[in-house]
Amino acid sequence: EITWEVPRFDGWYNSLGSPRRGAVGSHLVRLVPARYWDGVYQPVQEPILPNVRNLSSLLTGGPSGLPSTRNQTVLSVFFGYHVSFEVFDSRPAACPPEFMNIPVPKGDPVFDPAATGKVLLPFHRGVWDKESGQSPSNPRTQVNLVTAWIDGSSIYGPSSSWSDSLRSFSGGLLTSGSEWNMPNQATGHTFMWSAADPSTGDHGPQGLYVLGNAWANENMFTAAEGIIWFRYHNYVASKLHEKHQEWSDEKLFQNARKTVVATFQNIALYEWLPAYLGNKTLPPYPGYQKFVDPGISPEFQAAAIRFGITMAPPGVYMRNRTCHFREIVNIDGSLSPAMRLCNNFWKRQSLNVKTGQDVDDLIMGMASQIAEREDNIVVEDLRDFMYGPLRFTRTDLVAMTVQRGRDFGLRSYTAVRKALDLPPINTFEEINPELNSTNPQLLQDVAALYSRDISKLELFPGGLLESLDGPGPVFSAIILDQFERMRNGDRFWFENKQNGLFTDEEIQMIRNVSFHDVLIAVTSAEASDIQDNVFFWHDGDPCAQPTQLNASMLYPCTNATKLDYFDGSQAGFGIFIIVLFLFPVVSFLVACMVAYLRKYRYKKFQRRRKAGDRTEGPAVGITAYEWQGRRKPLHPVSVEVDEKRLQVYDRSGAAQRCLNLANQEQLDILLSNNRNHKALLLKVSKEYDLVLFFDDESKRAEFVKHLRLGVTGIAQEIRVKEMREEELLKEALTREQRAQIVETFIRHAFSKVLEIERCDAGDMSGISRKKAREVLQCELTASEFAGALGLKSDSLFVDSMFTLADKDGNGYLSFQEFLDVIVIFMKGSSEEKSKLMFSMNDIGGTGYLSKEEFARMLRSFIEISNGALSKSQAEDGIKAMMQAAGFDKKERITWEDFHFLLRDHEKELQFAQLNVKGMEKAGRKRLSRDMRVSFICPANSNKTYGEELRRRKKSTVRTPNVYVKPKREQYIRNPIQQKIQQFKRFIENYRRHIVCFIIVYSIAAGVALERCYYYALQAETTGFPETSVVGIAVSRGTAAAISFLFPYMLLTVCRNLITLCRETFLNRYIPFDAAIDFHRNMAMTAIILTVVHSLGHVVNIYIFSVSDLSILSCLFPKVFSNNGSELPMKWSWWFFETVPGMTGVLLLFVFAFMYVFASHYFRHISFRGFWITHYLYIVVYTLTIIHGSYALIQEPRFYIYLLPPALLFLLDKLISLSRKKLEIPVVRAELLPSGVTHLEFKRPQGFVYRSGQWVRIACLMLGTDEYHPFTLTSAPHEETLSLHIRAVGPWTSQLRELYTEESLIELGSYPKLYLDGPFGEGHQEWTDFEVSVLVGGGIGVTPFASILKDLVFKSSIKSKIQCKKVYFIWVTRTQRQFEWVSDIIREVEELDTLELVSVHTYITQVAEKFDLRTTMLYVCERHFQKVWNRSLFTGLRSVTHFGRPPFVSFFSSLQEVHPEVRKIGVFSCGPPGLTKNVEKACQQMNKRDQAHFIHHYENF
Amino acid sequence: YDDIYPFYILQRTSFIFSGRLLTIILVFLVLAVSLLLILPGIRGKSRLFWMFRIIISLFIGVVIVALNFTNDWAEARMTTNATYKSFSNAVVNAEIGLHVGLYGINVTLKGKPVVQFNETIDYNEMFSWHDSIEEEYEEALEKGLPNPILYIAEKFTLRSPCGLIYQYRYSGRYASATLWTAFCCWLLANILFCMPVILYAGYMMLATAAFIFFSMASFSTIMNVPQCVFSIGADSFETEYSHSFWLALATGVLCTIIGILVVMLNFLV
Ligand SMILES: Cc1cc2nc3c(=O)[nH]c(=O)nc-3n(C[C@H](O)[C@H](O)[C@H](O)COP(=O)(O)OP(=O)(O)OC[C@H]3O[C@@H](n4cnc5c(N)ncnc54)[C@H](O)[C@@H]3O)c2cc1C
Ligand SMILES: NC(=O)C1=CN([C@@H]2O[C@H](COP(=O)(O)OP(=O)(O)OC[C@H]3O[C@@H](n4cnc5c(N)ncnc54)[C@H](OP(=O)(O)O)[C@@H]3O)[C@@H](O)[C@H]2O)C=CC1
Ligand code: HEM
Ligand code: HEM
Ligand SMILES: [Ca+2]
Ligand SMILES: [Ca+2]
Ligand code: NA
Ligand code: NA
Repeated sequence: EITWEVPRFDGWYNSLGSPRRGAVGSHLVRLVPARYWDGVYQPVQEPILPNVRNLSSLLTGGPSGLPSTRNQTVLSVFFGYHVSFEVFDSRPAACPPEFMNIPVPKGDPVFDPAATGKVLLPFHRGVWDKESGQSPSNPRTQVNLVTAWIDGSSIYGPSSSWSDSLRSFSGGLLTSGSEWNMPNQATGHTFMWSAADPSTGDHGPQGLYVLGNAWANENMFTAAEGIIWFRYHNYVASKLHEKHQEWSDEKLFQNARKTVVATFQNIALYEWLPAYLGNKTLPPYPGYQKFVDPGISPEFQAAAIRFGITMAPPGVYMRNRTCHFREIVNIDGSLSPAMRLCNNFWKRQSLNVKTGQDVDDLIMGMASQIAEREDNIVVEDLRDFMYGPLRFTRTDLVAMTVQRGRDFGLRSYTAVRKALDLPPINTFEEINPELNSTNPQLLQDVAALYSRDISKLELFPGGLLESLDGPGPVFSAIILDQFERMRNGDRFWFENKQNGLFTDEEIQMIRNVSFHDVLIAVTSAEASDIQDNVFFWHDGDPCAQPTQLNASMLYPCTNATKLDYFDGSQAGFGIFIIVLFLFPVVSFLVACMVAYLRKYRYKKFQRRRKAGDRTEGPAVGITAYEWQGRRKPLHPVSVEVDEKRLQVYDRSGAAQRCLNLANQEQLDILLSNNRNHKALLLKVSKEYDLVLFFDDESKRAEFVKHLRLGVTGIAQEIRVKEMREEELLKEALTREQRAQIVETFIRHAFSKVLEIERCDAGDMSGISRKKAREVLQCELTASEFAGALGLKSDSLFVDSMFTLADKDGNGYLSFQEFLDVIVIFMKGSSEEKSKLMFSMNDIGGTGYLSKEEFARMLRSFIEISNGALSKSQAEDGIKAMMQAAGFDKKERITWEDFHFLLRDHEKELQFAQLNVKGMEKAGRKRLSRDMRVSFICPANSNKTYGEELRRRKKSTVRTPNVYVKPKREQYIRNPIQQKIQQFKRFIENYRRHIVCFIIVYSIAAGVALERCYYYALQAETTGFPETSVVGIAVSRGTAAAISFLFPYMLLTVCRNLITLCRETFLNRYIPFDAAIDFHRNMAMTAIILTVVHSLGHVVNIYIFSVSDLSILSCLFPKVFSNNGSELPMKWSWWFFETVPGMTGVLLLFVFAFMYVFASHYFRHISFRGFWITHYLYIVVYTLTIIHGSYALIQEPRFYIYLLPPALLFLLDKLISLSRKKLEIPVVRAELLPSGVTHLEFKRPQGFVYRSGQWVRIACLMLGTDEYHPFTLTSAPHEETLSLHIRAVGPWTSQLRELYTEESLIELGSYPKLYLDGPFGEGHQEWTDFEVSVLVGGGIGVTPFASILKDLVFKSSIKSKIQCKKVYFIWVTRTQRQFEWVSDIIREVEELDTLELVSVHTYITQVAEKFDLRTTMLYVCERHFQKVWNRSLFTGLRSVTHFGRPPFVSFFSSLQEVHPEVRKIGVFSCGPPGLTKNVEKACQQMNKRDQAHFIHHYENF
Repeated sequence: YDDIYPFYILQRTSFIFSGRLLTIILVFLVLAVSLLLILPGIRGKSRLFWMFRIIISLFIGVVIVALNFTNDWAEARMTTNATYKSFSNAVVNAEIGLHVGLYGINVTLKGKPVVQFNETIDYNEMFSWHDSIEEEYEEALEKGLPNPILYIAEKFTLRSPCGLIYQYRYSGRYASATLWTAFCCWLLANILFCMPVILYAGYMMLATAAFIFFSMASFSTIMNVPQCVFSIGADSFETEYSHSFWLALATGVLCTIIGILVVMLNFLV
């Protein structure tokens, strides 16, 4: 067993009282107080002190080849160097990195030959204790990274794990490499310092020796020293092993170690030190002195011990035992007498020293070679060609040494002298009288640099100038002091008998071992091959060196090279950034593809459905393709000739065009004579030509045959011409061309009638003469005429009108014929108009209308209303009307009777006109805009809707409100006041939004600014601000805001919670309606910030990939360790091989998809695409958590932000889930017109809802994961739930298909539903207003169906509600959709005994303008209503209007009708355009200081 | 009163049981007891079923939480003669243990016998790499912990050539993160079990299992680093997976089985 206390490797607990003394990481111990510029940590530099490079060139310049005056050997120099590694190491850069780069004087011949004046020699400040350097009484103190003890830390490493990594754990040996006497070489990861080789650029750990001294590989010669000691350990261990076979590895190792260390102590202090210092020696060992601190003094480390650099030779000889000095192979294969120092820094594969024998030769060479002189001169290898970083591979060691002194805050030469009790020196000449006599100029020059102020002279130059055969008094004193303290304070010093390490004999034995003995033991040399005192070479010693080496004999130093770490990366980096920006483009393309696919599939589905609808068999006739114009697809058709008619069907059998061949005077047929003879053109006068492409010529021939047969009876001539296909097509008059002609025709007609300028009528001037003639010769067909009126060509009205107008009965209207009709409509009196109407329907021209004819006329009007009434309804209506007019008894109705009927409506009739396309363009001034808004407002008056209301009220029992004309002056103020007014209104309307917005965004800004501030100003110790302040502040700031926004966005989509909260007081403070708007806003902001964040990191990553490893290891101590290899990770590493980088890039990709698919446009096109891509939010949150998890820059925070909202969101989802998965049976399904499907289904237990709320349903048959929102149309008091679903897209159409009878038979029962909801909705708040206006457009009526039912029910059971009056405005295209809505409205009307509801229906797609037909329609409707108190169309009491509702006038009249009401709720639902108009109207009303219109709306 | 303050213990108490673990187990025990108390209210066979359900579920929960704080995911131990402390050449016979958890290591030193040279040799020192193990090691040096403990702890510092810490820190970090995720999944699974969507509860159980396995996978990456030599006296040891790791495996398998059963039953019924 080991019987003594084994010293630790890290130097701890050597000293009893202060366990830390001399340990790894202990402070340097100053001999003299520090001198910093600010007294704390900033170095004193230029201009107070000279430029160090200047100083270096001046002071240490000079020839090499001067031998040491005392014949010290090179071995002594490198032994000393090795000893210094044994006791100190502060070279690695401090964290955060600080720079004191050395400016190179302009035109420096070595470093700045081009005289740019911009060269800097990089200089990192050294490691210091973070607790010092804050205030003047504790200025910056550097620390030592190895033990200050001479305890073999350069042999075994400064820690137990270091030593373990060197050990082989067998026989007490250290691991050897390829040869038994050589240490291991590093392969992969290594803790050995591995800077780059300045002469070859080699870097990387491969080929470095693994030793206890981290810097061992700095140069070959120090490495050789390390190898000697490595060998010596193994030598001693094997000797011990031989002697004590039974000893364990540990025992052998520790025994060998203590002997080796003791030997090293002995040689260093008692053999080498005296040799180095010359005559000065240590006092004898006084025994262990407990209170002595061995701490390295900065004066020793940064100046005194560095005296050795003046003795360093420019090269080193190698020789063998027989004094043969080896020729050295240079890089280029040439030979030199010695190894050049400057070319042997950080050598990996040295050509000359590969084997153990080479090391022996090197050691023997060093023992024979005399060192450089102990003077002020330093060889150029160190002065001009010291190794530097890859950025600039050469530097100046002397300059660095002086700079290090400044970094360490060394006092001046004179101050140190004083502190050491040396006699003061007052002039530069006194420093070294001998030097002053041989080289006075040098001292003069140095003095000049220090402006002749000796008190400024720094320690290193001062000490160097002092030297005379060795270090001068100052350096000697410092060195002696240092070694004495190291020895005396060391409890494990080999001579200390109390430590139990050695017996007296052993001590004596160790005292007798010299370095010579060591070398003999571990090299191939025999005792006589090397002189006894290896640190000197005196005449007579073996193997004299050939000559004193000088630089010129050696291979020149390779020059400095520069390396930009980013070189070669620019292109990749740039492309990558561009690719990042392309993400959205890719996503956009995908979205387009999805949109296209979807449209395609939907079309196919629709086609299939249509095909299914059709009962007819396949089309008859000859198949062909109709050509419809250039760049238009060929249209597949089939043609048939029968009885003078040419019928064109489309392939499904629907008639497309019918040509009356009998009308044609002659038939011109053009046939193509090239390209397979497939084309045929049939000229049709007064119409566009029919161009057909047949499958082949035979089919065409068949068709021509048919034609001939078809016209034979009529004795018509058929002219057939052949021409080339291209010409044929050119000849053809296409439908478009014809339409253009007709349009010009009509415009031209109007310009005649209205006597307006031609140019206003349309651009006729641009038309050629030929065209103009064509136009005038043009005659309209019946269908063109119908088209001009916007009516179907087979309608009775058109038929009558056309027959009337076509005076010559040729089946076409000529220009004159057309003019004659419109003149009456445009300019005629009401009599003329009614006469026209009369004669139009007086078919026989008998002068009176038969009952039949009158009924036919009425029918024709009703027909125009798109056949909303069934036949029998229409008949009933007509009967009723005739009865009302008292015609039922008359057989004949005269014009007088007819006119009498219209008398009530003379005014309307007067203004009734034909509405013809193109008329707007004619710019009729008489038709002002507001005449068109509603049928209700007579054209010639500015009566507003209020009056109409009033009128209606008069007709009912209600007391009329006095109609007051809106006081315009009330709101015409000066524009500024108006703006202020508007602003006030805006604030009033949106105060909840504004407050919430401000709260959310200021939190986001707050967290962002906090991080920005932290990283910009408070994080100096991390080193980030120094490295990339803008990038890091921006990216961390935005990351914080993102971390807040993304998680809290979840709250805006917690549908169930929002529905719950609506019912609480929160509703008064939070605008829940705007949740999704908020969601979008927050998402947009967050995404923008994400882009900024990423750009910030792009900057950071650029900076990281141009910063060297020493900086990065400070910034990311958990990721990088600095081992001197400098090269940073490439940019691609950051993006693709780090957690934040990879996930960041992925996130960007995901966002590109989410964003594009969430855009309004694509959401509309493919909601499913949006929904699916939107579910990537799960990926986003996951990736973002992973993104921060690596804690590169700071501990992750995102998950902390995420947790609270995620829990709420989860809760919300669980609520949904808990009811979503219930299968709900459908009770009833009805297919209503206009593609509306009515579903009635069971109400789940405990399903409580308010009218106006909506649910989401999925149909089990259509996949269980696709939910669509629909508003409940049932009222809360009803037993079942019901929905009205309009088929607009794939899902709704398929749903409709599912509930058709055929599929029901197939399925057996109604497919079941999944239900999620109910969800809240602004509409449910109608109860909060005394007066509400409900505006439903299209399918947007659904919420109101429920609301109205609910309202009436509530009022009927007399439950307390605020509501006093509800106006329901129902806007629809046609009356078709009415059937089911009108059922509801009828129900409401029946129950509504209190007249709570007033319903107004607006039918928009009956031509909204004041034309004759609508006039007539209106007249009929009014009559009908007068009699039945019901609408002719709807059977409802409510008034039907034609055209779009005039919201502004309606609202302003409301103010008059309900002057006492301050707040009116407006609820609209329907197409975006409609709600937008309502919104605008509300805004306009709210600008005035009257009743406040609060608008809630929802777009489907 | 015999000149001694009754509550002042003169000896240094050695480490008994992690306070945090104790808290976790107690919390879950209280939960278990309170849940089991409602059992009598359940009738018939389902009482037994519910008891199993509660016990198994709580067991999984407590294991997942506790695994975060246990220090025996991987362990190494040896009994050897080791130098004991500075300023003394004493060599003690002791069992030295290294216990690796997700947030750090515990190093134990237990004399054989415990009392040697009148000193109680029973140490259990925690070194957490959550913040900076460097500082903790410094503190340990200041404290002057026994040599074997310092020796082992030193291997986990940044400056150690072993470079263990770089891997251990991230392995542990991600193992613990995935374990917490597993815990969330477990919570969700329990909530879902109480709702009419048992299938999802089954899926969640499988997710719990998956995250437990991820956690084990993450932890097992520590075995990828080149083994660093731990050599004290004449002996050396290597770390191997230990109780917590195997417990995690067992729990993961349990969760998988429950998950699969639930899912299968759901599809069969
Ligand atoms: C709150 C609310 C209430 C609604 N109430 C009714 C109603 O009572 N009756 C009715 O007929 N329609 C209602 N809709 C509209 C109805 O949801 C859509 O018409 C239907 O989802 C269209 O699906 P699709 O696949 O057939 O058509 P698509 O062609 O896919 O979609 C047509 C339009 O509906 C939108 N849309 C599609 N799927 C969804 C979805 N899952 N969620 C939300 N919007 C979607 C699309 O953005 C697009 O604008 C309501 C919509 C909302 C938001
Ligand atoms: N092109 C598109 O994008 C279309 C989308 N839809 C969508 O289908 C859903 C419901 O359709 P549907 O029920 O058919 O609705 P409609 O498109 O039929 O519109 C309903 C009624 O609202 C009227 N209206 C539309 N815009 C305005 C406006 N700006 N001011 C006053 N009145 C207006 C329409 O009048 P008028 O007839 O004069 O327009 C129509 O009478 C909506 O989501 C809608 O966006 C429906 C059709 C087309
Ligand atoms: C780019 C802008 C975005 C827009 C325009 C947008 C829009 C929407 C809309 C309209 C809805 C509601 C859909 C509906 O229920 O009808 C929604 C839901 C949602 N969004 Fe967004 N969103 C955006 C970005 C994001 C982002 C970045 C996230 C998360 C990272 C996110 C997470 C969610 C969630 C969780 C839901 C609820 C899903 C559900 O109910 O199941 N959104 N979003
Ligand atoms: C190429 C793109 C990106 C890069 C290089 C990048 C880089 C980084 C880095 C280095 C961090 C610090 C992580 C740490 O301290 O360990 C970070 C944090 C963060 N990044 Fe990114 N990022 C990118 C894209 C994104 C994107 C698209 C998002 C959007 C969600 C995002 C959101 C965040 C958040 C929220 C944090 C803070 C994480 C936390 O505190 O937990 N980053 N990013
Ligand atoms: Ca010299
Ligand atoms: Ca005619
Ligand atoms: Na040392
Ligand atoms: Na020898």
